[in-house]
Amino acid sequence: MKTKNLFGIFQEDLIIRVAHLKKSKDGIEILELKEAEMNYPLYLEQMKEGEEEEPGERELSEEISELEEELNIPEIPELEETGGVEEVEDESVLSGKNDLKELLLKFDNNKFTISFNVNEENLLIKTFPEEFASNNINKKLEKELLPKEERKEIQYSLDHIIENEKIKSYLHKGNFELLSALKEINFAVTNKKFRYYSIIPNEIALLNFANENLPLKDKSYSTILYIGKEYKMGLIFKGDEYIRNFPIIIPDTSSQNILESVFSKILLEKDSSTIPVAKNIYVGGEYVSEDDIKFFQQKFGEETTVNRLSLSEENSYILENNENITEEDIAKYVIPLTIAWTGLQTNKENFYYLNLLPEKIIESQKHFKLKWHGYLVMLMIFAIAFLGTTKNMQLEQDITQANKRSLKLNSEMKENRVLLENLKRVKSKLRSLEKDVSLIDTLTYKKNNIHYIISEVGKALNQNPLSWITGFTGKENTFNINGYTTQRYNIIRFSELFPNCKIGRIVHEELHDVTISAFNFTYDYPDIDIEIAHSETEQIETKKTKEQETPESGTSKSPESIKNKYRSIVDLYFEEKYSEAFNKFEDFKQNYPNSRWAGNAYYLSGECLYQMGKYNKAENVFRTFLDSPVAPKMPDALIMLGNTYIKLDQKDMALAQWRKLIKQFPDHPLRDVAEYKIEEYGE
Amino acid sequence: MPYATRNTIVLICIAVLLLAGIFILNGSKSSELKEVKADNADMQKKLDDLEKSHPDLDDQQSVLDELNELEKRSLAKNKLIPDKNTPIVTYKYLLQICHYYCPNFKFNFNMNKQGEINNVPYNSYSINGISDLGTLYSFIYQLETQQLLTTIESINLNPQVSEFGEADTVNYNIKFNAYYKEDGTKLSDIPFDKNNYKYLSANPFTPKIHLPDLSKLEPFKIYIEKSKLIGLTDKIAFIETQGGRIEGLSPGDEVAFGSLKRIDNKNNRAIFIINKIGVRETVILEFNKE
Repeated sequence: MKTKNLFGIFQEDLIIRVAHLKKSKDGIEILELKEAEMNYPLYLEQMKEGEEEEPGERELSEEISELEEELNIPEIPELEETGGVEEVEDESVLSGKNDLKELLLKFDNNKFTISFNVNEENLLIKTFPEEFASNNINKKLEKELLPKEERKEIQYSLDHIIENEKIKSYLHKGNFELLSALKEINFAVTNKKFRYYSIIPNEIALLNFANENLPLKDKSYSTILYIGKEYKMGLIFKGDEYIRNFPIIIPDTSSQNILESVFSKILLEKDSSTIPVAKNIYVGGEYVSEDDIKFFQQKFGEETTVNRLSLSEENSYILENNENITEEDIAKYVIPLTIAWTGLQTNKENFYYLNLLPEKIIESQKHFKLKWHGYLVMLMIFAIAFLGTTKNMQLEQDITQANKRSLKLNSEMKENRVLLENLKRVKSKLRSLEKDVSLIDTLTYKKNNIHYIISEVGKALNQNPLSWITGFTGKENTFNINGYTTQRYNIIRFSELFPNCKIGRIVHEELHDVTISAFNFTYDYPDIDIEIAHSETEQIETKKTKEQETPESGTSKSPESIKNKYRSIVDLYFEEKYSEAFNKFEDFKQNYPNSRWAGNAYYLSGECLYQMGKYNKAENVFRTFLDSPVAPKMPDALIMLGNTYIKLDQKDMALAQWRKLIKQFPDHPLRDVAEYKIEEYGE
Repeated sequence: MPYATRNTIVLICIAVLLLAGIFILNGSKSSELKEVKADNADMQKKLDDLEKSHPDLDDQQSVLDELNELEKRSLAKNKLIPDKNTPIVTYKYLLQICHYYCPNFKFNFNMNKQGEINNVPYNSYSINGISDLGTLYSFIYQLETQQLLTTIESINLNPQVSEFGEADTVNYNIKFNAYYKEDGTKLSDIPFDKNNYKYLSANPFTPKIHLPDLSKLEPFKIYIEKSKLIGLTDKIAFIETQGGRIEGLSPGDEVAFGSLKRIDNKNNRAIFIINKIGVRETVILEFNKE
């Protein structure tokens, strides 16, 4: 425990002296020296035990008792010591703690680090040879000086110094009064806090001062005389070697008598021992005035030098900043000053370091103190804590993520189970439905199509003028149709109405002077489901084609899409966009050469050329078109070819086309047009 | 013992305790994590196994599509096999069809035989009679498309044609099977669709060539074949009828079985379109100036 500000307190009887020292980088500095004389001892018991009642007071109390007896005043029972209010008030008033407190309040400091003295009278001092112990000396001293029971039961303080190759032990039993008083003061004055540093015996303080300051180097004898109010002690040195001490016990008399008594005591000490009168005598304590020093000087004679205890030249700097402190003050305050000094400079070779402050107090004041290994462990703790926490957080995070994943997987599993249930249900339904559908499919396969067949035949005949049927017979797998038509091509078209047509007979007959063809066909029943499915597929494909294909791509092969494409080009033609329509008809012819609209596209491409005024090309197209074996637009092409020849100024050729139309298609509605054209141009 | 050393020892104890605490805490967390991870791996394996064993789990849509398709087909078929069938049930059913769709349809009803196809028993019936084709068509359509499963096994249609080309009625003879099965749909649960109309758009039995229907000939219409062209202008042709009546006709004017199509003034002729027997003919009357 290092300190920079220390209060050395010396208590002797009712005298309290305080030396306030400060340690700076330049060394030790005395800041203040203060003293007070207490009106009462620190504790009342001390007074009660130490003082006897005055004779006058006894007489007064006896008189009062007699008077009380005469007046018959009843006796007031005495209050118990612990419960008496008055007694408590007396204790607080009569205690010297208040004076001590007042003295300490004179210092401005709020924090007091305190070292104080203990008189040798209260100590058990014993000397042991150095061989007694080399380590754990205090433990061994404890065992040596204290019975086992006392070690456990009583409060004690023990420390030692090694002096002249001997172990000198100091044992204090019980409480230190000054310490207890300071504690109580500390409790009362809340804004000032005390820290207790050390308790040093007066002898040690004097020895330390002597070793540090006095010129004790030659082999002559020197004596330090400390003459206090109560504590009076002589310390004998031979050179720098401390020989022994001798207490000076004298009756309480006047100061002159005290000095005489001290001198006599020294002479007595000289006579009782072989030690000669000291060559140098150093005086400290109460009697250090010039007169006191002169007194001793006269008494000891010229062979002996008498001086006050004073600072060496080396240590005189201590007083540099404080001119008010005199050499007399130094001698007077030598014990509290040295107590504080010893506390501030903990590495002086000349100082004995001994501390009787109870271990408990030291312990209770210790701050957290560490050495390198402590810091290393601390660092290790931080590292462990950091790494552990980091790892913990990482694990926590991992667990959170794993839990999240677990939740997700659980939810997925749950979802899949639901899906699986649904799937099973759907599949079961599907199987049942499949079974029923399959059974019904088997039973109704290609059956129940009669209404469809009659309807389709009706539609087909409606598109073929001069065709009708005369009989319909449906059997198990096939059906038979008998009918008439005036156009033999119609027979081919009828044969394509239903699958697997077999021609029974085709006979030409005369009916009401008209030649007609009688036919008999046998078909397989169509599968309406397939046709409906095919139709739906075509519709879906058409939709897809419309969505996915550009009109120009022309790659779709579905009949519906081809038809739509054809119609879109025809729309262009009717919008009189002949050039664009021609190009698209050309593409259409190339892309769909076998479609049912290919012939129409070919014919209309010729019309486009005609409308664009490209008559030669148009003629070529129409001629090529008319050379094809089946041309549904043949009458139209003949009319247009005739028109083209007119534009090319080839009237005869034009008339020939129109006549050909009348001859080949006598019933065609365009016949009238042809006749009209012939009339118009046929001069 | 120096305080610093004692403190170090205390710190070492704290460090050891801390280490132990962290070790225990992190150990428990590690084992918790391990446990959760193991559970997850187990769950993942189960999921994988589930997906492996049910590859169509992720493609439920295709199964649903399949089901929808099948349902659609089933609905298109619109057929249900009843749990029973008797001639009375069948006759009542036929009358129900007639009641809602063809009230004038008359038929003779016979039960032919009983049989079984694919473990499905059936009763075979035949109906015959004479009916106009439209009514017969409605009847056939209902028989074939109502939900009660019947199949027409054979049919014979012979039109009754008038001499003027009108196929008024048809002789018909239809054989059909009515199916049933014990676990079939309860007969009373098979709905009868009362909104299932379908009409025949064209009668294929109507002859397109026939004798001229003189009954439709209006008394004052000019009968071209018995008339002469006696004069013409660009817009009017003058016709003398068999009875000596002279009429002026413009293109488009009606004559018996047809109309005047065009006047060819250059060639002194009038061109008529005549349809007497179902076949359209061009009849030309020429004007003889002499």
